[in-house]
Amino acid sequence: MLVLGIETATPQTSVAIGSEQGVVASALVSRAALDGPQHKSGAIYNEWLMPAIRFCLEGAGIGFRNIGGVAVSLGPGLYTGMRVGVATAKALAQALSVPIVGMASLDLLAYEVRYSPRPICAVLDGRRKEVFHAFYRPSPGGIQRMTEYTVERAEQLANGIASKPGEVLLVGNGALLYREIFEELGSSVEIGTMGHAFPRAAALVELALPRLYREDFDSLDGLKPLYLRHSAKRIQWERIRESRSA
Amino acid sequence: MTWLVDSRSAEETRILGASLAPVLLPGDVLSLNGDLGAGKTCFVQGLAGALEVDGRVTSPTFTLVHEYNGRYPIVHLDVYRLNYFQEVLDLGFEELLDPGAILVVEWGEAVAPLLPNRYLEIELRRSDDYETAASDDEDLDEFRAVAFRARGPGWERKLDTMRVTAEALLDALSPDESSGERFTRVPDHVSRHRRLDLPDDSTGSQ
Repeated sequence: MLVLGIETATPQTSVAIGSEQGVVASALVSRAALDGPQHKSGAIYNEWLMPAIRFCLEGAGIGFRNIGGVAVSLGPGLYTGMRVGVATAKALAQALSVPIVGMASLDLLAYEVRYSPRPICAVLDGRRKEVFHAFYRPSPGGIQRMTEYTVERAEQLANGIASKPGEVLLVGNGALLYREIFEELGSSVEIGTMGHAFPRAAALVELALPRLYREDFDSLDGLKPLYLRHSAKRIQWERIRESRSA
Repeated sequence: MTWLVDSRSAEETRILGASLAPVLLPGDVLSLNGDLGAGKTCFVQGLAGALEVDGRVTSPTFTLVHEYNGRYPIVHLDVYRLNYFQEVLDLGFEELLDPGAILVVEWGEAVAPLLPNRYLEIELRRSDDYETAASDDEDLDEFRAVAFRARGPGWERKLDTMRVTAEALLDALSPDESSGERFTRVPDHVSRHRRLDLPDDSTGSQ
């Protein structure tokens, strides 16, 4: 079965088509190293997604009709990216009448370093000085998630790691961004390199295949990006008006 | 420290916006406050025009977010119709705070807890207090008090440069009436344009 994987939840966006024989085509673009005044804002990556899918199909010499399932990264990650990715994946799954599965971006990160003997903490930059993270332990044939998907400040995560015994491997751009904070924890902490900084669509395809085979699908209606930030607070319009009439 | 200036017309409000443009860089955030009709959109029009945006700049009150491409990308957001911080987050606010773009937030004071440490606060007020200040032949309806307040480091110097530009442009607009410096400096505690004391950490992070 050929699976189309879409990962747009981070500053590195990728698309991959693959089967149990491996990836047949992939496209990847990153703005991680490009952010800055000279660079247009992230919108272009959202415009890039459909052409990238077409590029992969053409490269593999296949058409949409050959796609047997769609896999999508649900984040946590960049808000706009998650929404574009999930919306595109749902639209394609519906139009092609194929099943869809969603996977967490942090799971993808951890999965790619599953051969580590250490427990794994996948850490993505959440902006606002916060990180998204989850802890995993390697298990036969994959990984097992040990904690909830969490958003908190890098210092809080560092404190959490320091309070527990044992070693840990930190992977993801959040680990690299706050490297100095995590390095203070000493030799019990190892930090993954730039090569493992972002989840990739290729890993997504690999992880999605077993789920598709055992028909562990997600419902088109129910599938949503993983938003970790919530606020129930009202905007204090009354106070604004009061201060104006004061 | 707050800088106050009177704008006598929509055209002068536009000029104030335009005067700010040369000191703006991608990553800068402006919080723009003032009642409906106070001239917020007018201010942004001046600013966007000076940043070589072509095409119309209109109020995003109902459309929520407008994006313009000029010398730099400009993101123009209006939170007036929103009632919850979650709705602001649902607009992808984190990413609207793009280091590659200038972000203008209308009614920014309402969502101050979401703003970065460093931003410029601008407030436009209809001048109810001008009965004595204005002469009979001037149109009071057009008068606005405009306050510029630096939040966090960096903005004080930019405001110094902006003021020089604004004084020159305002002078050039009406050379007959030129009467020395238009900007006055007031300590924050006497300014009636005071900042609201909003709670921290409104995002309620887990």
